[in-house]
Amino acid sequence: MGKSLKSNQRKIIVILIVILVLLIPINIYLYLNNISLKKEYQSLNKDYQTNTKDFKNESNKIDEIKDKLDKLNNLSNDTKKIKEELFKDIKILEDSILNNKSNSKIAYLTFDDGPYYSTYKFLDVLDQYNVKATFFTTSINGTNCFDDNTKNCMALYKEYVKRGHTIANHTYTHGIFKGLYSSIDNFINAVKKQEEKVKTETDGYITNIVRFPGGSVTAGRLKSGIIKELQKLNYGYVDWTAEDGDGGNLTSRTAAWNNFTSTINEKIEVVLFHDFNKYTLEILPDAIKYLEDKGYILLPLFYESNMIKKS
Amino acid sequence: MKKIIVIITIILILTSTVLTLNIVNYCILTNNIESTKESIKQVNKKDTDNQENYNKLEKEYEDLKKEKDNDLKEYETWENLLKVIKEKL
Ligand SMILES: [Zn+2]
Repeated sequence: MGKSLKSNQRKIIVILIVILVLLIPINIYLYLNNISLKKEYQSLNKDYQTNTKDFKNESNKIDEIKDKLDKLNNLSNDTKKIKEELFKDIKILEDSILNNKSNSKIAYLTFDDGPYYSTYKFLDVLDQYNVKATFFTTSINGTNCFDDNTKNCMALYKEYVKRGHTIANHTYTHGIFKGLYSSIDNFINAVKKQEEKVKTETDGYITNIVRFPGGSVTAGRLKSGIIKELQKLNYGYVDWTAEDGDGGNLTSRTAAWNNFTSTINEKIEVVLFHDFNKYTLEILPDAIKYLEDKGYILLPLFYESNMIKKS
Repeated sequence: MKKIIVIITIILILTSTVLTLNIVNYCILTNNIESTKESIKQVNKKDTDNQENYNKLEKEYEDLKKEKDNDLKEYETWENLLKVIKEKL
């Protein structure tokens, strides 16, 4: 009995040892395998993080370019807003100049009687010097260009808008000696007709600044009546404070230059030019430089400006 | 004799516990590896989509930029004028 118990115990010990011997290598194998799995997991995790970072960078880049696209798509709106803000600020600056609280100077370059074919050359000079100006337009010359009858001048209206200049109203007929000033109605109708012309040729640009052909003094006794009517139509008017004399008989570049420089003496100048005159075209780059050297900021006219008289 | 059996049994139990732990660990690790692989696949797919999307947007942007080149210059001119006036105020 004791012997068989001992032999049973021995058997159990042997079995247990066999199991143990089997289990230990399995354990070692699993342990080692787990270590390599862990390494694999860590490296995968690293990859995952790198890829996620790349993905986020890419997403940020997409957001950036979307912003840029939005900005481009809203450009015309933003330009409109910035112009509104600019004109408000110019008005404030004008006020302080006129109250002697600022030493700044402003010059408004204005060109009368166009569009002409030569207007393109004036526009190019203005572009070259990044200057925005004001064009007082009339339809006296008809559809074809006065200075080149083979060319149609109507495309210039859109060109003014495209290049950021102010289009103003110089009456449809410009008929100083043909009844423009024979009645208030005649004058107002000529303004309305030119307004319609500009509106049609530009797809909706509304003029609100008038320059009387020959200057407001030419209207004589009708002047105050016309101004009242203009007021009702939300128009203001402007004459000029400086010129090179190109509306009269200019005979040389020197004469144009001397006329021009001798009339520049105000802190806010409204300079009268005509965009058909070759001497004006010749002096224009120098005139711009001259004004800028004297500290003038060159700007386009706008309705709210103090230079635009409303009464 | 009995003592030896007890000791060996204890060692066996310990070894088995370790084995269980190893197996559990193995399962967790394989599972994690699988899910990470899956995540990487997804991120890569999103990344590829993003890349395509970005390329498309970039092309759109470049085209629009060319088209609006003039408007952009125009905007900058007004922006500069505004800056000049603000300085004088
Ligand atoms: Zn005129």
